[in-house]
Amino acid sequence: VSNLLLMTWTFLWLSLLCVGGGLGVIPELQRQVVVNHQWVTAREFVDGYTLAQLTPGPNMLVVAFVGYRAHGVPGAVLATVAMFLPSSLLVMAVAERWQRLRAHRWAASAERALLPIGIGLSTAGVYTLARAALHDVSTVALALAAGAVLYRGRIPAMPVVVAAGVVGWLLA
Amino acid sequence: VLLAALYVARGLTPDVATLMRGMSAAVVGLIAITTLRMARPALVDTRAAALAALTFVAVGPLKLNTPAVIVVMAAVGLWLHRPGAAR
Repeated sequence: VSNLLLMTWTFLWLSLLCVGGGLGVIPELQRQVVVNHQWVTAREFVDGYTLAQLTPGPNMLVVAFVGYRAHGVPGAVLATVAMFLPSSLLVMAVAERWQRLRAHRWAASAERALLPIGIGLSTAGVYTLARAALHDVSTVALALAAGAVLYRGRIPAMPVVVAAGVVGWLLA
Repeated sequence: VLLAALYVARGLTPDVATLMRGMSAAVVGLIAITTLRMARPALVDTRAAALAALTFVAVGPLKLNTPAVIVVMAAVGLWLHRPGAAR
């Protein structure tokens, strides 16, 4: 139970780090769940993120995977609530007041300051997942090919991801 | 949760592991493109690019504590973009 509470607390404070989207919290999330607490292995973490991408809904559902792996259904439920509730409440509170807040002369400064930090964090998220998922020529080639196809924006992401899985399987 | 349950219950057979490896690689390509699309319109000047680059290096390769990096970079960013600062 204490480990379940520790996990819930960990996801609670991580949820408040989602500056500029969930991807930015991935490096710290990975460090906490793989390195510090060992709730999942590095490979499982990447697989969980991939499964979360394949499901409709936010990518941060990876926490449901981590919670389930560590503590079954209660772990999945608590992890999901802990990850989404605080940031949702925060967004609701700020959204309500934003019209008034944005008139403040520091509001534009805050917007201009936080946007690039969000981009930097997201790039670090890509870096963290790339280090775990790309370990040979074939995985690097698949990532580049998928990126090139998706860059054109004509094909939705999910079929490309599944196709890459099949190509990787055929090449193995 | 259903997918997680299947993954945990069935374990990774070699075939599923190979399939997951390819899909994970494609997901990296996907999130790289998504981030690139976000970055293009946001990194409009040297200050924004420097803030993004420093944040990336600190949290990514240097693996520094993310909350600490956010606090420091937000303070630097606010100072750089303070009202009345040269644009």
